Amino acid sequence: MVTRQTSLAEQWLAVCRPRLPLQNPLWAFVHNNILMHFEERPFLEAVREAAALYRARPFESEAFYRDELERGRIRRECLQAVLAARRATLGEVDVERFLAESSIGDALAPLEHLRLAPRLPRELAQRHQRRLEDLLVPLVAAYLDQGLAGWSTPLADGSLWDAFRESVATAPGWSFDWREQLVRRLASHDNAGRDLEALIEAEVRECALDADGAAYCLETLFVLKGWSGLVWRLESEPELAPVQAPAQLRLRDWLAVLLVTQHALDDALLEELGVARVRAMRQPAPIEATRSLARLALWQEAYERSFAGPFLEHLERGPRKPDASTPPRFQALVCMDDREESFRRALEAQSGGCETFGAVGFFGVDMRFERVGAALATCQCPPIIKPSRTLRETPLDGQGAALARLEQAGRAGATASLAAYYHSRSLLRGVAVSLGLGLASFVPLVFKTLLPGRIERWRSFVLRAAFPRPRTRIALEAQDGYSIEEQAGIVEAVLRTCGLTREFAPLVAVIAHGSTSSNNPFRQAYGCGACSGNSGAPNARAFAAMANSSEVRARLASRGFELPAQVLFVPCLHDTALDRIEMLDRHAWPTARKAELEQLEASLESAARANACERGVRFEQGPVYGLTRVSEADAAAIAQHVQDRGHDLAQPRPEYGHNRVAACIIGRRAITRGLFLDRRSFLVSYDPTQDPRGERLPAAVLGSAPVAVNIAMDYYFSRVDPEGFGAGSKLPLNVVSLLGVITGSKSDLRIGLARQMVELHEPLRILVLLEARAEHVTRLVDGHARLSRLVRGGWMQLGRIDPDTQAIELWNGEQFEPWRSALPEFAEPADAPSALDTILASADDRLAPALP
Amino acid sequence: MITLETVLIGGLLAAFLPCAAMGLSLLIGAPMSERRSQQSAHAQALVLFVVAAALIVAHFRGDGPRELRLAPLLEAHGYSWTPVFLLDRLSLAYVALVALVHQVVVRFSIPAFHRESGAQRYWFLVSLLALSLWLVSLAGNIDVLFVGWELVGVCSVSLIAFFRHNLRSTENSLRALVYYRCCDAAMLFAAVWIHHELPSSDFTQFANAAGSKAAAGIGALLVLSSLAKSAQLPMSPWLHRAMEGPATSSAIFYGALSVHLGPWLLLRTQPLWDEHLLPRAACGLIGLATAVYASLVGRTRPDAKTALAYAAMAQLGVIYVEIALGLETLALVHLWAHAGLRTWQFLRSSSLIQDFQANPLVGADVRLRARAGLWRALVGAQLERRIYLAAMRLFWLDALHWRTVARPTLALFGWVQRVEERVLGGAGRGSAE
Repeated sequence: MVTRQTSLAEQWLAVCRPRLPLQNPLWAFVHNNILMHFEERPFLEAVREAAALYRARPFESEAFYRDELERGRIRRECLQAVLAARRATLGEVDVERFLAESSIGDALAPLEHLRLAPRLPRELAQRHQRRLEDLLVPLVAAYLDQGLAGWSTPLADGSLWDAFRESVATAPGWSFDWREQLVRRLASHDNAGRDLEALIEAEVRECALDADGAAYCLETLFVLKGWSGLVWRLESEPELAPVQAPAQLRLRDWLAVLLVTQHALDDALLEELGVARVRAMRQPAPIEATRSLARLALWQEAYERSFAGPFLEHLERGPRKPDASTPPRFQALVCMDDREESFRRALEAQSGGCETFGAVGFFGVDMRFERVGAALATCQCPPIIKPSRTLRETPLDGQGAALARLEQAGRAGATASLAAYYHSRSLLRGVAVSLGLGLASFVPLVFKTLLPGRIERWRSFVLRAAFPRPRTRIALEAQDGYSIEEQAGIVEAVLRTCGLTREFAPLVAVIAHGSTSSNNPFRQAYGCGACSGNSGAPNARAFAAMANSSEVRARLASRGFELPAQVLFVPCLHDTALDRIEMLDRHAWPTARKAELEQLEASLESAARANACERGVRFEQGPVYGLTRVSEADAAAIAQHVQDRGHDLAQPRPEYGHNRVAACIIGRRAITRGLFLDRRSFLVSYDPTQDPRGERLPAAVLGSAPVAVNIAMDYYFSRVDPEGFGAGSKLPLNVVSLLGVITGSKSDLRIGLARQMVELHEPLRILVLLEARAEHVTRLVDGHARLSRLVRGGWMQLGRIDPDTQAIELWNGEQFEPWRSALPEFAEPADAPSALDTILASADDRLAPALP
Repeated sequence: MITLETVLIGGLLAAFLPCAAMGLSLLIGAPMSERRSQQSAHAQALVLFVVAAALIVAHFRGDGPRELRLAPLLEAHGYSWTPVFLLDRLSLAYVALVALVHQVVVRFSIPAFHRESGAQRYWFLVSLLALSLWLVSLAGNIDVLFVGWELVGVCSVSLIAFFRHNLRSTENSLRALVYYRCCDAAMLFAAVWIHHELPSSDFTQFANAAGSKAAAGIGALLVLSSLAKSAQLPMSPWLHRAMEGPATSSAIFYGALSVHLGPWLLLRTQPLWDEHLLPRAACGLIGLATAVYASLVGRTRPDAKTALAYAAMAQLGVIYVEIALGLETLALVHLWAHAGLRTWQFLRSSSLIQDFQANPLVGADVRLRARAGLWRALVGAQLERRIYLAAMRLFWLDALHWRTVARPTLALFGWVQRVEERVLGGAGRGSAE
C-alpha cells in the first residue's frame, strides 16, 4: 500500500468521504442532519454545494412560497422586513416588486456540472443514468447482501473491484451494448500495469479535463449517492452491518468502478452521437437545483419569521399559570419528544394535578441492551454517544424455566420463519411450501387486512397464554454494569437537570416511548430518537430501578440529594402510534400501593386516549378528521382506529412522527404549561433557578438541541425535495440487501425519509429557546464546536428566555436582542390571538404538493 | 324467479357501472375525488364477491356445470360473437380466487393509495382488471376469453407505468407490452384457427374435437399464447421489469391473478389437445426449463420484489409441468395455494427488515445460509461462481432478445421507414412540382 506516501487518489478520497450521505443500514436508522458534514459552512453556502451534488432543491419552490403568501401563512410584513434588512444589497424593494420581478435577490449563479453525462442531450443523459444502474445496482446490491437472496454470494469474499471485473469478464460480448468500450478501457489500464489508485488518477486526468480531481470524484460518487454513502458507512463502521459487511469493502474500489463504467458509457454515447469528448465538454451544464437559491433563501427567511413571530407571541402571552398550590398527585418524567407535548398537556389537564418534566428519553442510561430472546443488542442512547456498557435482561428467581420455554419457542419459531422464507423461494421445497402453506396464507391475508388491530391483539393474547413472558429485570449490577456510585450519578444528573429535586409526589412515572408499525422499512425512524430509534422501555426500567434502590438513595443522601422513602419511580411505556400505555415491571409494585398505582395507570391511559383524539384530527381516513370537538363515541372510534393503524400492513402513515416540529424549548415547564403548542415543540425541562451558575445547562442542551436539529433537518430536506433528498413515495419502495430500499427493481439506494412520512411537515429551521442567563448561553455556545457551528452558521435559530423577567430574546448573529426588535414587524403586540390559526391549527395544514 | 343468468348478468353489470364511471370521468378529464373512487372500487369488489359466492353456492347445490348462452352481439359474414359463459369447477375455482384476492387488494389499497397522485388511475385499472378477469375465467368460448385476456394485459402494462415520472417504469411497461403482444398474436391466430377447423369455439365442444387434425397445432399455439402472461421461457424477462409498479399491483398481478392465467388457459383448453404429444411436450419442457432457470436466477436476487417474481415464475413452471403430466387437480390446487402465498408475500414485502430484525437467529456473526452447500460440492467452486455470475445477469436472456429480435426488428422498421419516406417523399415532391 505504501508505495507512494499518499497518492493523489487517496487525497481525493479523503476529500470525498466526509461529503457522502450518512447512509446507515435501515436497521440502525437514526435521524441525522442529511448535510451534517456540511455544517462547518453557513447554511446558504452549504446547501448550495449540497444542491449541486444531490441534484436536489434545498428550499421549497417559488410556487410554494407564493401560495403560502397568498393564504397568509407567510406574512407580507415578514417578507417586507426580510427585504428591508437586505436594503444594502437589494436596494429599495417592496413586496409587490419582489413578486413581480423573479430575478430580485437572485444573487448566486447556478453551479456547473463537472461530468460529461449531464451535457448530453436530455434523452441520452437519462439513458446514461439508467444503463449505469442496470449494470452496477445488481452487482453492488448482491455484493453487500446480508442474506435476502437465497444464494449467498460467492463474490463477497473478494473485493468489489474484483467482483466487478469478474462480472464483466464472464458477460458475453453481446450482453450489453457498451461492453466493448468498457472492456477496451479496462484493457488499456491492464496494459499500462496500473494499480487501482493509478487507474483512478488516469481516469480522472483523461476525462475531467481541467476540473478539480477531488470535486470530479465526488460528483461521480454522487451519481449513485445512496450506494456510495452505504459503501463508505459499512467500510468505516462494519459493525453497523446487521449480519456481516464484506471484509474487503472499500470506497476506493467503488469509485474506480464508477469512474470506469461512467467513462465507458460516455464513450459509447459519444460514438453514437459522433462527437469528441473534449468538444462535448464545452457544452454548458448548469445544475437546475442550484438556480435562484439566494432568492429562495429570502422566501425561506420570511416563512420562518412568519412562524417565529406568532409562536413567540403565543409563548409570551401564555397562560403562565402559577404552579399549582396543591401538591401534585403524581409526577411524570417524559421524553422531550415533540409527540409527547400533547400527551403531557392531556395529563396535566386532568383533575388532581400532575406535574410533568421533559428529559432526554434515554434517562442518562447509556447502554447497549440485550433483550431476552433477541439476537442483537440494541443501542439505547442517542447516536452521538457511544454506549458505555452492555446490559442484559435476566429472569427473576424462579423464572428460569419459563424463560427457557419462551426462548425455545422463539428459536423454533425463528427457524420455521427463516425456513419458510428461503424454502418458499426455492424450487422443489417451494412446491412443498406453496402446497403446504399456500392455502393457510389466505387466513392472515384476509384477516390481517380486514381487522389488523384486533387480530394482533388476539394473536398476542394467545401467544402470551401459551408462552407467558417471564418476569425479568435488567442486570444493573452485573460485572460491567453500573456501580452504585454511577447509578446515583445518573439519577442525580437527570433529576437535577430537569429540576425535579424537591416537592416530590409519592409516585413518579418514568415514561419512555416507542412506536408500533408494520410493513415499514422505516420503523426505526418512529422510535425514540434519544434511544437511537428503539423503544425507550429498557431505559425507563433501568432508571426506575436505580432510583428506587435504597442503596442508591443512601448514596444520594450522602451527596445532599434527599429522595424521600415513600417516593416510588414507576417505569411506563407510551406507544406513540397506538396511544397505549404499558406499565413495565408490574411485578415490582409494592402490594400496599397497588390501588394508587392503578389510579396512575388509569390517568395515563385516559391521557393517551385524549392524545389519540388530538392526533386523530389529522388522519384523513380516520373517524375524527378535521373535527374541532370530539364526542365520547368518536373517542372510542379513534382509539380503535389508531390500534388498527399501527398494525395495518397497508398503512404507510402509522403515525405522523415529528411532522411540523419547529421549536425546541429548554426551560421550566411553567413557561409552556397549559399552552397549546400543537405538538410543534420539543420540551426539555431545565430549571435555571436551581442552577445559578449554569453548570447543568450543558447537560440539558447538548443532549437535546443537536438531536432536535438532526430531526428537524432530516424532515426539512426530505420534505423540500422528496425525490432528491428524500426516499420518494413509499409505494414503489423495495427492500434491498436487507440494508435499505430502492425504487422499483433497480435504482440508487434511497436516502432520507419517504414522502408519506413528511407530507404534513413545514420545512423550517428549528427555533431553540433556552431559559438561561445570556452569559451562560454564550459560554455554552462558544465552548461547544458543533453547537457553535449550528448557531453561527444559521442551521438553527437560537433564542433565550430570561429566567427572571421571562423576556424573550433572539440571537442576531452577534448577541441576544429582544425578539420584538430582532423581528421588527412584530414590534407592536398583536391583540387578537386568532393570528395563531396559520401556525397552530390543523385546518391550515398544507400537504406536500403532488407530483405532476 | 331469480335465475342464474340474471344473477350473473346483473352482477356483472352492477360491477361494470363503477368501473365505467371511473373510466369516463378520467376520459373527460374530470376525475372523481379520491374518496369516491375508493368507494366505487370497494362497492364493485363487494358486488363481485357476493355474485361469486352465489354462483358457487348454486354450483354446489347440484346444478352442475352450466353453460349460459346469450344472444350474439355481433354477426357478420357468417361469424358471430356470442357471449357464452361456462360455470364449472374450473371457472368457479378461478372466480373464487379472483373475488377473494381482489377484495383483499382493494381493502389494502385504500390506505396505501391515500393521497398518491394518480390514485384514480389506479382504482380504475384495478376495477377494470377485476371485470376482465371475470370475463376470462367465466368465458365459455375463445372469443369471450380473448377480450378479457387483452384487457388484463392492458391493465398490467398501465400499472407497470403507474409512476409516470419515473422513466424506468415507462420503459419497462413498454417491454412488457411487447411480450404480451407477441403472445396475444398467437392467441388470435389460435382463435381464428379454431373457428376455421373446429365445429364450434365453445370450450364444452373441445373434448369432441380432440381428434381433429388441427388440434395439435392449435394446442401448441395456445401453449405459446399462455407464455407471456405467466412469464415462461422464452417470454420471461419482462416479469422483473414489472416490479416498478406499486406493491399492491405486484401482488394482484404478478403474485396472483394475472400470472396464473397461463396455466389456467391450458387447463381450460386441455380437453382439445390432451391426446397430442406436441402441445404436451412443449408445455412440460418449457415449464421445466423455466422452473430451473427462474429458481437459479431468483436465488441470486438481492431485492425483495424481484426475488419474489422469480420465485413465482419457478412455481408457475412447476404448474406447467404438472399440467403436461396430466395432473389437473394438483395443478389447480397448486395454482390456488401458490396465488395465496405470493399475494401475502408481495403485500408484506416491505416487512423484511422488520422480520429479520425481530428474528432471534439473525445477528452478527450468524451467517444466514451455509456458505458451501451441497450445490458447491456438486459442481465445484469455480463452476458455481460462473453459474452465479450468469444467473445474477439473468443468463443475459434480456440482452439476447434485444440483440437477436428487438434490434433487428427495429432496424428493419427503420429501413422500411426510410424506404417509405423516399418513395412517398419522392411522390410528394413530384406532385408539388
